[in-house]
Amino acid sequence: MYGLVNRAIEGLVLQQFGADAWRKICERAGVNQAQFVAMQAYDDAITYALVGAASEELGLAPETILETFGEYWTTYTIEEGYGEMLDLMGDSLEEFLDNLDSMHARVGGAMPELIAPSFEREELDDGTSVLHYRSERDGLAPMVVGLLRGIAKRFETELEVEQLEPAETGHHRFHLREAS
Amino acid sequence: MPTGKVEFSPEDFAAAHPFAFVFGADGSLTVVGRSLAKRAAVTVGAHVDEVFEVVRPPKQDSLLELNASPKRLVQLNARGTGLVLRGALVHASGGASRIFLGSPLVMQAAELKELGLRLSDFSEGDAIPDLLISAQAQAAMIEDAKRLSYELTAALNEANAASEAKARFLAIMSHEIRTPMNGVGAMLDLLRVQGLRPDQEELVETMDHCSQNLLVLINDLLDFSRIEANGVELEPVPTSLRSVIRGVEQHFKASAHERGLELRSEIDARLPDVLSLDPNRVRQIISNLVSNAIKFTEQGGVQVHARVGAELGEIDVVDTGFGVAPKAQPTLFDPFTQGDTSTTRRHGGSGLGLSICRQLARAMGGDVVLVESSPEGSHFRFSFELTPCEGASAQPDASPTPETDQLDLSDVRILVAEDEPINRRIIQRLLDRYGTRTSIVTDGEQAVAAAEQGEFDLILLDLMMPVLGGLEAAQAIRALGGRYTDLPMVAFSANVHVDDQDAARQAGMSGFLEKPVRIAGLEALLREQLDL
Repeated sequence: MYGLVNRAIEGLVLQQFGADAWRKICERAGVNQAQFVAMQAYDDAITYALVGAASEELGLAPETILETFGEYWTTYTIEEGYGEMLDLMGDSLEEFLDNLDSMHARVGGAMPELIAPSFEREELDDGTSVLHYRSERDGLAPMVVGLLRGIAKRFETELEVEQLEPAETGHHRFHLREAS
Repeated sequence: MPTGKVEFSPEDFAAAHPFAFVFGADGSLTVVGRSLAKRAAVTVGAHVDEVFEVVRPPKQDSLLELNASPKRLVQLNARGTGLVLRGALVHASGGASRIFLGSPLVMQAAELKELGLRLSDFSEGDAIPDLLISAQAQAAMIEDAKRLSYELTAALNEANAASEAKARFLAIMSHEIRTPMNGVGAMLDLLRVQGLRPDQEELVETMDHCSQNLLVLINDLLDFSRIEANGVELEPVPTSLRSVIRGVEQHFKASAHERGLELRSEIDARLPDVLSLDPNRVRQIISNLVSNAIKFTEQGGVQVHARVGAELGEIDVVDTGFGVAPKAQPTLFDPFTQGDTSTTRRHGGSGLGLSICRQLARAMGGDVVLVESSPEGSHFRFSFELTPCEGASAQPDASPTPETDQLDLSDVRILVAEDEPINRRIIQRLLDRYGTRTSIVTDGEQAVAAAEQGEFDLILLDLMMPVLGGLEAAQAIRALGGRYTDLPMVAFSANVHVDDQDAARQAGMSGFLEKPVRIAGLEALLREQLDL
């Protein structure tokens, strides 16, 4: 994963738990990385190790950490100068989600080592949606839940997210209902 | 039959080409791309020249009158929207219609927001958003690099400040340790010259040996910290390597003999007489190697051999000692390491000497290496760049050589300025040996006043004194002019770094006497300054 992701984990820990917690997490993860470079690709194992160490150090389930991180991600990317890119994604939650795949494809030009997930929104007759999330990486579905909450906050929308049974390995589904 | 003709429904065309439009011969718009309609409120039926202003080609007022050509760049302003389109105008429907095919001209992602455009407004094949995203990523990368650079600089400054603080601490500690050492060494010298019983002589020798070891340790620590902080500072001057090697041999001869060892030196006749070298640093390296060789040799001897190597000058120090253990050899030149822990216990030392020597030698364009070592002995080599000094004569070797004649200086008047009571007593006692007429004052201001009122043959000034320091006092005395212009005036200090010696020279001092003051050093200085 790109350093931007690891930096976001650092940012979240610093913001919510402080510098001492981050130092201990790095020690526990065996990560001797004083500074992550945002646009440099790092081994996924570093990110998984950081999440695992944060879970042990903070006494929180890895799913909780990932969900919190997902929600933090949208705020963090704006702080890191990607706000204008997010603005391009649309004026509503639906438009934003519909543009996610296109955005990841276009970001690939600037991040050639990006292994992006895929998002596809299926509109249901009752006005709700199912988001299909496909990824080559395991265990990151809780992060998508947080991500959806973060995006909903951006559009000041109340969103109910229900994770459905996975359709197949690597293909997760989320039922989305916006509060009227 | 396929004809090669391409037909779209207006809806498909508008969807696939979101910023394109079609107009007829009368100028009315017949199809408008979906994003153009949505974001710029362009409607079917409007006149093309009312909606768009032609920017390129220049001097064209009407899009309707512009000749269609797929190879001609056309740039338009969508009036009242701020939207700029760039593309080409082509014929369609056998010339009955013309189509503008193009995209918005935007250079920054922020412009899209201002124009109310979103990612979904672009056709999937349009690379404009990719370029804008890429530009934004580049901008974020630059910010990231700036931040990292700032953080690195801050960390570096912090590390440098810590390193400087360490160097300052060591310099102060060195000065503070040298002051009492001054007392110990000088008093030992005075005790010895008073005549001692053999058993007392042995006790004094042991004390002297301990104090000198302590001094070597302090000097190594100080040297190491300075090299760490500022790198190696060399002062090359025309130097007789022969004289330096002979001096070292002379210096260590007695201690080698005491251990029943033979110390010999051999100097290749092809070595130039005068070389551009820092004699103090060269002496330091050779002394260190010889001192180690003597320390680690129990029988046989130590041989120093200087010669011209293939490219560099080489000085080999070969001993018949017990050698360096193979496992200790890779780290032998690392600071704070020694041959092994048992040697630390048996022979003491900081383990800094070889590390310092290597850094000094490398600054001279050479190195210090262990050529070979076995239980039969060790062979170290110090190499350095050979820079002959044609026509120059070497500066005299600064290492004090013991003089056998007792000086009689009963007609010599010496002014000493020293604030530290113990040091005052020491220098008074040392000078009393020669019968000098000594006046002692306790600060620089008193020294200037005394110099002005009295007649002196030599002035010794401590550098760190209250009221007026030694450097300022020296400048004030030189400023008196007349006989004070070339009056021998010597700095007398425990601050022995080359910078301190330079500062003393620049303040007008003609010599530098290191504390702790020993009889041999003082005597050499008196002979030099008083032309004896």
